[in-house]
Amino acid sequence: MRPFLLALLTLLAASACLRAGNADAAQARRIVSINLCADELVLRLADRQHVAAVTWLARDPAASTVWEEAAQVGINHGLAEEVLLYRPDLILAGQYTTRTTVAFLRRTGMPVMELGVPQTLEEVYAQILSVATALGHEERGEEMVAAMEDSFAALAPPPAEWRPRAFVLRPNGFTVGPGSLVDSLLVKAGLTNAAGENGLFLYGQIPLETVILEQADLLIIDADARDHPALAMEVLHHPALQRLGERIEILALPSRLWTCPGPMLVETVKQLAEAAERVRARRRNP
Amino acid sequence: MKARLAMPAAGLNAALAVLAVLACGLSVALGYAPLDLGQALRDALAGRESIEALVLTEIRLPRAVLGMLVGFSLGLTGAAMQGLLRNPLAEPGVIGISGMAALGAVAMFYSGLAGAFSLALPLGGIAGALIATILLFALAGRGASMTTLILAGVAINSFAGAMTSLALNLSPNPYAATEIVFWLMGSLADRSLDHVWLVLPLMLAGWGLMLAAAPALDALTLGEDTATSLGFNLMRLRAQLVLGAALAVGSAVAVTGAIGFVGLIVPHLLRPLVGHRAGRLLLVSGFGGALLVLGADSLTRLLPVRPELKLGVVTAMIGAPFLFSLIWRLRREA
Amino acid sequence: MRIEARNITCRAGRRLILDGVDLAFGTGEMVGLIGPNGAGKSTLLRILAGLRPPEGGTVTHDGNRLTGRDLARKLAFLAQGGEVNWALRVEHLVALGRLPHRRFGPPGTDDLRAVENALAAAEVTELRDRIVSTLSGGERMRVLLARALAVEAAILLADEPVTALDPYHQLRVMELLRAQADGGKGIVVVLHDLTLAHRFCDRLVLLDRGRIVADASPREVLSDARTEAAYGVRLLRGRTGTEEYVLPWERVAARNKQDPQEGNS
Repeated sequence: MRPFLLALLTLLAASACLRAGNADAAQARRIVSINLCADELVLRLADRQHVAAVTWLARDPAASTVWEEAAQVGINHGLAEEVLLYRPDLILAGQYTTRTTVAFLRRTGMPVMELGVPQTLEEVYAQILSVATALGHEERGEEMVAAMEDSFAALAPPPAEWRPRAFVLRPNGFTVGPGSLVDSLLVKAGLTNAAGENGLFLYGQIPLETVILEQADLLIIDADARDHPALAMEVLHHPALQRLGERIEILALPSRLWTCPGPMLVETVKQLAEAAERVRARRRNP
Repeated sequence: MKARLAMPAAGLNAALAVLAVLACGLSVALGYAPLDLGQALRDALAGRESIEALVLTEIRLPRAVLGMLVGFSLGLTGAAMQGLLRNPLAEPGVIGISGMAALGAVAMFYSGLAGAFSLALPLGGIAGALIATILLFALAGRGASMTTLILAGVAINSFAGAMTSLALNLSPNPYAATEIVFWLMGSLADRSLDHVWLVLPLMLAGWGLMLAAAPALDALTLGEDTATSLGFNLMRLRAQLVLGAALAVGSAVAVTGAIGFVGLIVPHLLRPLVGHRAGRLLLVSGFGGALLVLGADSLTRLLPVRPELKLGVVTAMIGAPFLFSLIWRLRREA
Repeated sequence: MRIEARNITCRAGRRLILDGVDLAFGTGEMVGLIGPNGAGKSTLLRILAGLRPPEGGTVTHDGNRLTGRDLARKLAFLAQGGEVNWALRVEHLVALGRLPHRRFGPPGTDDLRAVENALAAAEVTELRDRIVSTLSGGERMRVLLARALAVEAAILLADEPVTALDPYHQLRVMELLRAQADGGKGIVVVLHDLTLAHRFCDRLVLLDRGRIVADASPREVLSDARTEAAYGVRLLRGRTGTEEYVLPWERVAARNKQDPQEGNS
């Protein structure tokens, strides 16, 4: 199932690049994004005056890393009617979201570029480059990718001694199994993705008893710990976790940091690596 | 002949109770990771804080006990509502209690209080159930008919459903909607003993109120006038059952979300075994409900589907075919 | 045991259903409550049974006002329509009559004896293992009567017990009620069949538009003037052996629309 899915994704990503290539040789001037991840890239790569609208989610500091920029452009809710009003010359959409809108826009002959869900950092880079090309700013994409590569290189390489075992609990709708972007980031930060290890729980909820019996070192909660309510946080109140106390490290990582491709992934790996280091430190002097 | 008239449902109750306890044991034994139960039990009894003991006492035991409590509440309340409304299609949610309990929990969630302290979610659910009860008494209070009660229930249910959808719609976090939708489907996963202690006294009070209504429900078999002529105060009966249902089902929904079909199907299946007597049906439906919920919850862990299926989904998958076959049989008999 | 109703009034919205009704009856007699549709018979019976409070007036039981279980032990009520909601076995249904005496726990010996007696008195002992929903209308009414008898109350109020029955069962149920009255119970029965009322009751109470227009022996109450005024029907009168009978025979001109009190004075 998984290889098939991956193959499909790669194929779709490739076709997206192709379509984007045809979409516009010159620079797009009225860009509308109807997908949160596309918002991130558009606001970072296009000229501000050429961005007609992004999604309303992009203005939410909890969900988006570009909420300040998003406040300066128009917003839409992924509805075809809104999109048409901007008379866009390029529309960016997600592969799995707002399907009816995309279908409608395609029927009306609008230039739509669909973004897949990258599974590895290489796919992330590829997507950044293809979006930058479609926007007519190939050089900015190259810059962004280079900057990310530099930042990753600048991070202290994870010590080879021992990779702490991490569980991602209650992720918000993305995959954490082996071969997923989350998995790549965990590995890059010097962690072992414990969920992927036993082949179960490729996504979704991992039972607390698995976490405890498998002796996880690090629990990653996919939530904004401060002001955004999420049921994912509920588990932190569980007495079993509280009684484990010092034996387990907990990291609350807002989903905006690792749901979409972009430079914020560097920050994610940094935080993961720091958490891994805390675990190692405790192990060294208990 | 006389002996049969005298025979209470004690045998059936005992059998179902034993089965429920066995199902409880099965639930404790089932899990995602291999657990040396003997070792865990020895550690727990000796007070050693081993990983095994922790999993046993803080995760598996609460899950099994909650399954039993919630199942008993749903089965018992279903039987009580069917008896009160004299309608085999009545279920615990019919008077709007569960809808409001769900709304209460969702409101807690969106106000951000859920993150603030650990039992906010179930407390919100219980508050919702209480508000529903007050509304019911206001709408269908003194002297109103059973029809008024049902109508009030329908009104409260639609209101609660709409408000819950509104909350999902206005949700600040795109992922919150998914989370809450999944929560509403009902699950016993990763609940704690804190949840058990929170709901136990409420449920016991609710059970007491409903079980005490057994003779009145028997009398109600013959209609409201005859029941009154047998010395029962129907207004008090209604209040007693509404309050009992609110306490039992309100707290059940508050900790596990909505688990459908249990309260509908269990009284249905057990009714012939107690000679269709509404009063006798109460206790056996409680045990039957516990058995069904524990069984369904065990199934969620036995089925090779990960993440585990939601409990409400499994009970519906078990319940719906039962209901279909029942309707089929009724149609043939008619 | 004697039940006395004084100056009972009852309203449904603005409409006056009962208007100053006085009625007293006791054990050992069979009282027929008759009157045209809408006269207030069922309402009066429900007030006498304590099922609804009157807007005005009082009902006393041997001088006291009994309610709830105390009343339920002394007064049994056989409802109109014979509602039975679940597929009960006959003996279980009859045993419900013991609820005023024992609410929890298995039935005691007195309960078992009362159920046996009631099954026998209503002649349904052989139906005891049947499911109520499989009975004929007549059998069902006898079973419901057995339920009421199982209360072992001094007074039995029955609301139209024979209305939906075939002639055989009409006679059989009336005979059973008569036998109970002869055995010392007080029976009040709402009837539409004037022939049966005339034949089986010790006393008839004729209600018309919320007032009692006659309360006396069947012969006196069912005079031509009263039946024509209240029902708009003329009776055929006949005799078989020593017994007189009446038969509603023909309609007369429109019913008396005047104040029914006049016909009574």
